Amino acid sequence: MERRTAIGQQVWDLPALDVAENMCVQQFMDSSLRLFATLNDGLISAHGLSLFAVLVLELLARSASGSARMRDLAEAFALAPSRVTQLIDRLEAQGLVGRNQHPQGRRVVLATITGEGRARLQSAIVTYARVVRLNYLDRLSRQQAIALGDACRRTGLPTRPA
Amino acid sequence: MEESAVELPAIRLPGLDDIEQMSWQQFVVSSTGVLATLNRNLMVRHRLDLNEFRLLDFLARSVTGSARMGELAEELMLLRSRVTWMTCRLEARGLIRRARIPGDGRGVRAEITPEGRMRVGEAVKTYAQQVRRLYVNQMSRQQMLALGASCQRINASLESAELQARPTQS
Repeated sequence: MERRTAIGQQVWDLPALDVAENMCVQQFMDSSLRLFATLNDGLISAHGLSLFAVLVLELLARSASGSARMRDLAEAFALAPSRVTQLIDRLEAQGLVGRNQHPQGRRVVLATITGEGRARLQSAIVTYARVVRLNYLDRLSRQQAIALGDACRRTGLPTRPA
Repeated sequence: MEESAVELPAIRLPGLDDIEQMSWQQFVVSSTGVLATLNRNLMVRHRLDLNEFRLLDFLARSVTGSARMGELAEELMLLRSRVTWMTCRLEARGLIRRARIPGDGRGVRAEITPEGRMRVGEAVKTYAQQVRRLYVNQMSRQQMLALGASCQRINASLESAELQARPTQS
């Protein structure tokens, strides 16, 4: 295992990663956490919806039927099913999502976006786009934005728990 | 539902062209995937979530092995109340100690324990292994460096915005 030290103090190092790798990953994670926190704050204060709620509504709105199985939602966000259930409960209480049975499966529950859900999503999306423009796109040249997206496309997507 | 295909969302982000939209969408899918996978692996193997890991790791790397609540909140980009709650839980597990700062009525420091150092030392291996699998091994060095540089620009502007929002914090 390689160990790097600077001024007598161990530098943030991971056993299997070099300094540049560490820094890049750290920047990637930090920028992601910061952007999500900024989006989350903006969406909650303007629309009373968390970022997670908006992402789930967007995923539902994007699907052909406006609905998805709860299990698939949990998998799409790599989250415990209970987290998704909690969120859908809250969205249902606000009238933004409905629950129904899957036509083919007796015990399969679908979450379906309502008309009001779509309307709320539309206005939240405007805020969302403004935050993305200001904090992401305006920081990058067009070439950099393309390269960043391309590099991200290569990163491993969540696989099923090993 | 398709597992890994990155698709343009049907609901467009107003004001973004196709290329901008694609770049952002890929960033979101990738970073949420990477963060969630890291989180899950740390939980399963070490019973630490990603934030707990980052907190312990930050303490382990600091010269004194300790930090104030405010510093931790800033480093982890979390609310102070969340950090307070996390440090209480980690203290109950014997991984850190909380202590009042002498001469500062409300100040509290968190200090990592030997047990905490051991746990984070193991978790860091899982973290590195996963980062390599998900991220470093997936692209060329040039691409990785460019990605890091772009993310740094995004960070720098968000950081300065945060500082402006909190001018009084010392």
